[in-house]
Amino acid sequence: MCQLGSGVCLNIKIYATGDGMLIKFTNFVISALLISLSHAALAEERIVVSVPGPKNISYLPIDLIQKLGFDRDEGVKLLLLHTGGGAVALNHLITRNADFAVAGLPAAMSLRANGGDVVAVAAVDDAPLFVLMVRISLKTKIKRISDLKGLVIGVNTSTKNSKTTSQQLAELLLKSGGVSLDQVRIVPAGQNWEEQSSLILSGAADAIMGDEPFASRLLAEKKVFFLANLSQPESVKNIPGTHFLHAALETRSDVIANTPQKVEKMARMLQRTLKWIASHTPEDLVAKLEMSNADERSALLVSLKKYRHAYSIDGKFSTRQLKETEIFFQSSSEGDSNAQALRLETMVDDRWIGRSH
Amino acid sequence: MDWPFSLKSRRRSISRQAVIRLAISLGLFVIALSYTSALLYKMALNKAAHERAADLVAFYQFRLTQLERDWELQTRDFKTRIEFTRYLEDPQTDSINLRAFFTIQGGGARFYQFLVLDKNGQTRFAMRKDGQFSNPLKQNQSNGWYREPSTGKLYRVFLEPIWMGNSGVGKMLAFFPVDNALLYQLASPGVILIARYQNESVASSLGSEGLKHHTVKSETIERRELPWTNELEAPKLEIEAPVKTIFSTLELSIGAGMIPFVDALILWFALGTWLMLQTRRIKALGGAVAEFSQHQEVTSSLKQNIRQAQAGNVDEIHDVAVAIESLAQQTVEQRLQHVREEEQIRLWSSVFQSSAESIIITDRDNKIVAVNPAFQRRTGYLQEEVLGQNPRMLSCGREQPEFYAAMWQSIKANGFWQGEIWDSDKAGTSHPYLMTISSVHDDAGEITHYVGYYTDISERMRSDEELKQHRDHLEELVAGRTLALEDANQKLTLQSNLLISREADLHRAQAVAKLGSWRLDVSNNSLYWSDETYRIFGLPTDVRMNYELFLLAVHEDDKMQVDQAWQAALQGKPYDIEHRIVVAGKIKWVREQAELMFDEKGNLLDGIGTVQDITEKKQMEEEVRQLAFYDSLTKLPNRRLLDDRLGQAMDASKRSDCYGALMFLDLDNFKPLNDTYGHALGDLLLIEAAERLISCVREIDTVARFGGDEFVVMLSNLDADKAKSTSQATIIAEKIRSALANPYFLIFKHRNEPEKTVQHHCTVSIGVTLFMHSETPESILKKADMAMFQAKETGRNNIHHYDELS
Repeated sequence: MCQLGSGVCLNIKIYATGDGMLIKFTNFVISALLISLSHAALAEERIVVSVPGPKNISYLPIDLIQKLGFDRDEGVKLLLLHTGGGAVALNHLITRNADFAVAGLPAAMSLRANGGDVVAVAAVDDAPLFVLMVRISLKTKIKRISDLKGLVIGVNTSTKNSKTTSQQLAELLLKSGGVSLDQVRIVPAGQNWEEQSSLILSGAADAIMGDEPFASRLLAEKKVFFLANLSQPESVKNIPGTHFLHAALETRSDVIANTPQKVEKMARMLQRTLKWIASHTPEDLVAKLEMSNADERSALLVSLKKYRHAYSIDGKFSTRQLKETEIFFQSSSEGDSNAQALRLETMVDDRWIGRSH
Repeated sequence: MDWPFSLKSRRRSISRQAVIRLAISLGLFVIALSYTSALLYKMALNKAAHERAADLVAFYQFRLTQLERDWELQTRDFKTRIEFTRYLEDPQTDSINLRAFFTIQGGGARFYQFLVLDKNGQTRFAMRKDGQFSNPLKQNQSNGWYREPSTGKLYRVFLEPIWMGNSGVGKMLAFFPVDNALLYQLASPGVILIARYQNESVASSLGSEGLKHHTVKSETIERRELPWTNELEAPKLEIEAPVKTIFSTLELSIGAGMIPFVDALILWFALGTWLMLQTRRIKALGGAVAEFSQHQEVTSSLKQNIRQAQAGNVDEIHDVAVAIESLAQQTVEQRLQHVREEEQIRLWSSVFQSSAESIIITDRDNKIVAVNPAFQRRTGYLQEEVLGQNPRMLSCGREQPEFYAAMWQSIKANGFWQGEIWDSDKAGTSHPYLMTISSVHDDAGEITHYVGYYTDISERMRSDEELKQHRDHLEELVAGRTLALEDANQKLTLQSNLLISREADLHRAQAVAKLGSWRLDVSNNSLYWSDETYRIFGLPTDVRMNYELFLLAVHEDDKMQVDQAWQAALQGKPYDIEHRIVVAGKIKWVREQAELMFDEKGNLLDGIGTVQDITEKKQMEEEVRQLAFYDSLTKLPNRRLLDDRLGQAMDASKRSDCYGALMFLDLDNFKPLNDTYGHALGDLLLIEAAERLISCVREIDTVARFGGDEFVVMLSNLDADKAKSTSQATIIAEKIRSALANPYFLIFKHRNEPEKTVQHHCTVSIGVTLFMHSETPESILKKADMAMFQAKETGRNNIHHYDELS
């Protein structure tokens, strides 16, 4: 009887009679092979990652892992749980639907400030990519942020205990433009093409703090115009900490404590993916994603070329960027004592990835 | 005495046996108790676990029912909302509008998938594009279960018909995930929930790790399975709750260790100590017996063993110990008695043989049974010759039969007879003897023997005769001496009476002179006081005096002076001192003189002294002094004392540099009173005026009568500033003037007439002058006198200050 780590037992009997040594050897080899194969198959570790998307430019490295086969290299079965926003992804993490979440670090801080068990273990992005886009039919009326009064603004879907980075940014922008939050209606807009585009096309929302490449695709289809773009400093000059770290790999402390090998594997897969992205062209990346929709593929390529430094090159945390992130979060959560008391360093564990200046 | 060998070889200590049996009992007790406790603990745990599991099953049955109802309501709610929007009535825009609707309505947070099928079952709208979702329900089924093939996730599916405008009634399907998040939210603290579908775990409240967890079997987990719904295909909800232990492992370990320990302690204190005590007592009993066997004495060791055996309650062991001790003591006493008796017999035998007195022993029939060697020497008879004979054979025939009859009567009555008797020896010579006969009785009181002692008194009788002759001679001598002594005694009595008479005269003389005497005798440290001395000191004559008692009577202020004088006297200086003593609270003055005698080395031998009561003399001296310095009428200082005080005030002024003031007062309108009512009434006014003056000034100031109706008031130590001093003097002068100006009510009685009151008004003229030390008393008085005349001149009842310029 052999007790395997997975809990499966195989009953293997090796007969050692005097005649038939070859048969016995063959039996032994076959048995050993069976054991190793069974062990390999059963030992494949299941990792569930909840991530906004799919095909959201900020979280593309996660979609790429499977395409690049790094999960198989680690003996991992990677399952992606796409959500309509970082906050929803984080909710899947803390309710045990996922082992990891990839979400905006400010959203993760919001969850942590509300008592959520979340720890950031690697950086995914290098630059936050958000665009405040407005329905094209309103172009003559909306010239600046203050003109948004009375309109419906879509943001990435938040949850009860976590506010998405998109919403935090939208609120800061509105405040910087002199628009108070009771002068607009904020609605969830999801974080994939179908959701964000449907809100614009149906007129359910007048503006969206949207993600790339969906914003660029809608712009290309002349459905929206950009009122503010986080990658353009002049449009967010009044927002403190705009160089914050957006997408990061996050997990729970019990995952770190009980299955540290999972974290190690996940961090290694992410790091390899980011290095692959850094060493390949946008075309290579788009091709690797094997996207069937031409418009979608085209929009993504445009966006990737537009934002050449969207991703972290090695997943390391940057001390400077963490500081910016804390500033951004503190600014966006004025009046929340728990949020103001939170220090980002208490929820960052860089033992697997490391840190740069 | 050792124990018998055979017994000793098999002997086992009772205490050892007790300890072994106690240890075995304790071990069995602890095992039984521990086993019973473990069983009870396990039963309690099982019961608690079963009760908890039953509670959990009931709770989750209720929660799942609620959840089902909630999902169904949400499905209907979304159906109603979609129909209200009428989006599905326009096939061109329904997809975009519905997606926007679901995005804004948060459909993704409620359902994992939402499908809208037309009446042909074709998908018109799918909320999510990932996964492979289709209608899993059979005809007429409104809900069911669907396992998505690509992910293996399980969904609860609810179906509702939905209006699609011209397309008719379609179907909408809501897929609720039965995932880790759902179970995590359902799970109460400490409880693990696992959803099992077709014997496969599909979700766990612990997350993906929990899907492995459920395969672990453990006795510490209570596991129950609950069907999600009543449908056959419904998944099972497995509830795993940790068996709540009453005690932690550490507490159990401590308890397991403590129970035997505590049991052992209890057993030891309840039984072990008692048992050990009893074994020690029994051992002590054994030790006592062994000790007695060995030494045949009541030794301290035996007593100690007995005491140990008696310790504790008064019980059987105690009684045995008492009995052993008593037995040992009786045995020892009997042995001692026996030894004493033997010793006595030996002694008596020795006495009988060696006695110088003749001893004869007869039986109750008066037949001689034994005689001692002294008898044989005295009588010349051998023992063989007298044995069996009656002592009558020794009689010389001098005594009459009545003598013998009285002798035997005394022996029978008293058991004893003593008297002088004449017997003859073998040669026939008679000798006087002092004979003592005693009867010997047995235990029943019957006479068994008679013992006779012969003491030869021939020599004694000769000595008695000689003594008689000496005594007669001495009596004659004593009679002559007695007559001479009586004569001498008469003379001494006469001389003694004379001495007593002289001493009484001395006492009377001392009383008359109020002069007592004392005598100190160092040889016997006694101080003798005469009666007059006791009287002067107010003490009874039976008080034995010494120097300390004497000092107690001396006035407190004079004690040091007296003691110094006495110490000086002890150094050879004359002792002559006047001092005060306190007798019954009154002060007396005494004069003491003494003469002390010393040897050649200066040591005090004795002393004699006198004490004279000089109180009256002192009083007379004081009266003389009063007459010399005070006015006899007003008792105020007279001119002489005023001069003295003025001199003192000037000296004080020299030291303090402060001014003094002198006032010269003359009563106005005094002479008419004298002339009208006589000098007696005038004297009364002067006395009243003097009292008023004293009441107006300070204690340190002086009021003097200068003569007639003139007074002087002297104020001293006023101030260094002249103006201030003048002011102070003026205030007092005014006070005096005002006091003396008040009417006088003078009461007098003239011979046999009744008392009479005379009211008189009298003022005073006051002259004031300040002075310092630089002037003479005469000049000061003169200035004050001049100022007084000025006051008189200005109309009387005035105060006038002496002015240098005037």
